Formats: sequence, structure tokens, C-alpha cells
Amino acid sequence: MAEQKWAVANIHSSFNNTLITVTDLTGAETIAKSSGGMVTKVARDEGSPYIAMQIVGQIVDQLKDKGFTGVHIKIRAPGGNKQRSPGPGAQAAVRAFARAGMRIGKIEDVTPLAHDGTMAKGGRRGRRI
Amino acid sequence: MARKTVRKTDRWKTKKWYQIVAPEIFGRAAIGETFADAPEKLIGRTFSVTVGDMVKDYSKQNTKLHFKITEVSGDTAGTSFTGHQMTNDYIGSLIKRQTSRIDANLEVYTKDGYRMRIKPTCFTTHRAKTSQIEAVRKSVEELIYDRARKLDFEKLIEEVVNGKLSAKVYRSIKTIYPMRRVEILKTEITGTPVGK
Repeated sequence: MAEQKWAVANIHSSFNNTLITVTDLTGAETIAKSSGGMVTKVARDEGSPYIAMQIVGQIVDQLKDKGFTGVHIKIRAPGGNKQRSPGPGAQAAVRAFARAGMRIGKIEDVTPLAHDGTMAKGGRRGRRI
Repeated sequence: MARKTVRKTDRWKTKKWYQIVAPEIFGRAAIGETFADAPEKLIGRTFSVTVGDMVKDYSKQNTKLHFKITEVSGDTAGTSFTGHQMTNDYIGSLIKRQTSRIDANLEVYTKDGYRMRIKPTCFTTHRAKTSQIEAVRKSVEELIYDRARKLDFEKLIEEVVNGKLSAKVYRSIKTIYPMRRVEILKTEITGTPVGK
């Protein structure tokens, strides 16, 4: 292994889907991208940990073709006035990167946090089932 | 479909790699790589790196330095410093119940005419009264304004990044109220002197 070549894996993880875009270190050039809908046709599975592993599998193939050896990871949940904690696919995705033989650099949470703003959906008295 | 994939691989091969170099203040160290098909597309890209990576000290992973690419020569891309920031999870780890967090948001001018926004924050050991909080904030503001007026831009950045400024603030305000921690959360460069 001569030289390390790093990329940034931007993982957006909600309850319903996982989207991964791998870019260069500045975030301006996309290297590979994939999402739940690209590996499964079952809508309710798109956010699941198993599908997240398959998404990563697709991406790592492309990364290795292009000669990348490691990824820094930026995880984000929906954020804003929605959930602040990442969905079920996030952890699985990070682990799958490591299992696929990519070096893991920094792992950072980049969930956008509201400094107050619009009201969250569900109404004043919360969601009533 | 076939035509599309062919075009994609071609585009990847036409792109060239460029070395990103830190500005003069940080010793023009190589801090990363990026690629593009044309050099003028590099300008304006932003890039951040932790202090730990810059000085090879892994205890300083909580501070990020932000850079912006301003010039390209050959296969190196020169940058300018645009500010620094603490990571969100580190700030979250400092916040505790039954204590006060005292924030300030200051616009300062350095000795050589740079305009900067500095956001210091102080964490107390116990919950402070409003009068005490106000006294602390006033003292912090005075000290930082004074310090910025005396120092050049580069010296001020150095003090902020290596923690000397926050240590100074800590020493000056701990007589008003016992402090747990003082940090400079964020700086932004909002204006440069004319002719630079």
C-alpha cells in the first residue's frame, strides 16, 4: 500500500431510508452514491440495517475501482424540527465500511440543529393514535 | 444506458488531482487532496481539518479549522483561513445540569484591520445569578476586545487555536464566579483590510 487516498462518506440516515454520497475531501466532487431504493424494491426495507450494508457494498466497489483506501464519515439524521438521532441504517453502514476493508478516519455527527424555527408536525397535543 | 456509463468513466479519467496547501499562518503544510477537470473550478471550494491532524497531536481533535481555496498554481491549491469551530459533540459533552453557560458574540477588529466574529463561552461550576452572569460576560467582552486591538491577525488566530486566549479569559473571570471551562467556540473572518 503506497499511499492513502481519502474520501468523505456522507451518510443521511432516517427511519425510512439511508442515503450515502461519497465525495472528495472538499465535498464538491461526487465519487459514488447509492440509496435504499437502488438496492431494494420494498419501500419499508429502505431504512433497514441489512439494506444499509448492501448500499455500502455497491459503493465500496466503485471506490476501490477508483483507488480510494479510506473514508471519513459524516453521519446525519433528519434534524431540524425532526429526529436528532440517526436511523437504524447508520451504524450498520459504518460497520460495513470497516468490514469491506476501507480505513475509517474521523466519524462526525453533522445533524443540522435548529436554533428555534418552525413548529414540528404532530400538533400542539402530540400525535394521537 | 451503455453510452451513459462509457461517458462517466471517461469523465473520471480526465480529472486531475490537486494538493491542498494550508495558508502561510499554518506553515503551508499539505492538508489534503481534491480533484477537478479544470483548475478554475477549484476556487471557492471549502475544506476543514482538525487541529489534531495539523500538529499531529491526537488530543486536539475537537477543533476544526476551515479553509477556502483562493488560488491554484500547477497542481497545488492555495487556501485562505476562514474561521474555526468546535465540534458539536464536544460542546454537548461540556453542558451539564445545574450549571450556567455564558455565551457572548463579539465583533472585533484586530490591530492590522481584520474584522472577526469571536464566540466565547464559559461554563460555571454551579448555577450563577443573572447579575454574576452579566458581570462575567462584560469582563470577557472587555478582555477579548482589548486583546484583539493589541494583536495582529495571525497572532490572534494562533492564540485562539492553541487555547491561550481562553486560558487568559479563564484566569481573569474565575475571581467573579468559579468556572469549570472556558472555550472559544467559533471564529469567523468577516472582513479583510483594504488592499489584501
